[in-house]
Amino acid sequence: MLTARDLGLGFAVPALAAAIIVLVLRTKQLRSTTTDRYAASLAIFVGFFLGYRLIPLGPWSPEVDWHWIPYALAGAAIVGPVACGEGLTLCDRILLTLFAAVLLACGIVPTFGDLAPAYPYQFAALATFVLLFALLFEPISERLPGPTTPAILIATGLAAAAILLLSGSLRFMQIALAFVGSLSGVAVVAFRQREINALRGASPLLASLLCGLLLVGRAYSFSSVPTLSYLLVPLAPLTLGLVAVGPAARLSPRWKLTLQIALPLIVLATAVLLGVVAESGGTDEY
Amino acid sequence: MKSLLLALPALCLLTSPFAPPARAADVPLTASNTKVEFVCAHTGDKPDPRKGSFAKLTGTAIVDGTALTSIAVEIETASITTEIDKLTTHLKSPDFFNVRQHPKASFKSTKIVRDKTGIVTVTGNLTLLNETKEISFPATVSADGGLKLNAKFTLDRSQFGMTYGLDKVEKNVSLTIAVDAATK
Repeated sequence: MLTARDLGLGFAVPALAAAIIVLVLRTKQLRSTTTDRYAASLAIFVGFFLGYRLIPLGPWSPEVDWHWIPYALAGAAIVGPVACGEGLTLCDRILLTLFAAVLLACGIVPTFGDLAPAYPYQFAALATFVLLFALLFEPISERLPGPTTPAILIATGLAAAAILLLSGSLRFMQIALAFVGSLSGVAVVAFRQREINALRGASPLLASLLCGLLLVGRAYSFSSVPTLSYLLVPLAPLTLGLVAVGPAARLSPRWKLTLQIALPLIVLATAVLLGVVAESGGTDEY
Repeated sequence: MKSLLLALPALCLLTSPFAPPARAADVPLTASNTKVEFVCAHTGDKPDPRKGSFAKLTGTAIVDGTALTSIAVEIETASITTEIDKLTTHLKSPDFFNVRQHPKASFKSTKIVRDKTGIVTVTGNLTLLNETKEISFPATVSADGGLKLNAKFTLDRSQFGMTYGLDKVEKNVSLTIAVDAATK
């Protein structure tokens, strides 16, 4: 199904590029509060974009809705680090993130006639989902630094790839894999620098990619994958909030880590399982 | 008797070699009388060719006497079907036919020429995805009291922007068209 070229250009290159960018920006010479805010967003975006263009998975010049994904992500990659800068009020952060969310929705929500639910609902749902994810995930990643949070996002990206594959599009699955590749680069560096929030400033980008890609994947699909599967995947990383600020935050480190891994994985497994059950039967290989 | 005498010259004119040619007739084309099938294979050692077809199409062929003069067909791409459900779902996605964005594919002939051996070459514009390209294909045509047309040719899908997975699925797709239709 996937060739060595697909995995090399669509996964390994994004991972390598992202890792190099993070390592360079976090060297002693370059490290500052500014590079700390921009490192993850820049690394994930550049890695993703390399994978997207090298295969290629879409054209330079957008012709249809989903072609705008990388360009909307570029906007989110700038907005995220700006929004978590010092001196900004909560209102500033909300407005900036809302701007990125609306930009994404304007670009990628499909406009074809038989879109269900209708365009305004999908537009509002995507913008709201991205806004909430970005605003909620940023403090979660601050409270849970280290490699576990990026690892959970890798699992989330893989679950999104699985749902998109079940939806009937290898292309959208590969776009998700390019994202997973670039996240892997960031996660590998996070294993070396455990005290750092490896995802600082990247929440709008992560939200845009996960929610946007899943919305497009669902809109173009003719499969039986239930809507709940698409919704559960981006909700999974938010369950980390229960470990970051809920009663579980007072548990022993061992139990905390167990819950940090188990909660999102249960949600992701449910999402994928629902999709697999809906699409079971028939021949897998064609 | 007088009127019969008057009608006789007109009857002679109609049956003589100088009679006006027979009027062109429309032949409605539907999925029940027109089959559009394709076969595409994987690249590499295990090609596993897969066959597909379209269940909904409409069109018109114009037959002038025994000659096919024009043919126009519009296909509903969402009616694509194969033997494997998951393949059908995949073919409908933006990886291939992108049927949500491009629900119709169409062909309209611009030139139809019969050679000495009787083989007809149909030339026309095929619109698939966002691209309209001129294509030509040979066909055997019989247009006596209806239309029978059989054609088999290959099409380069990448010419129409269907470029996904060129390293996995052959770019040349074999097309078979079979028409067996009566005039209107």
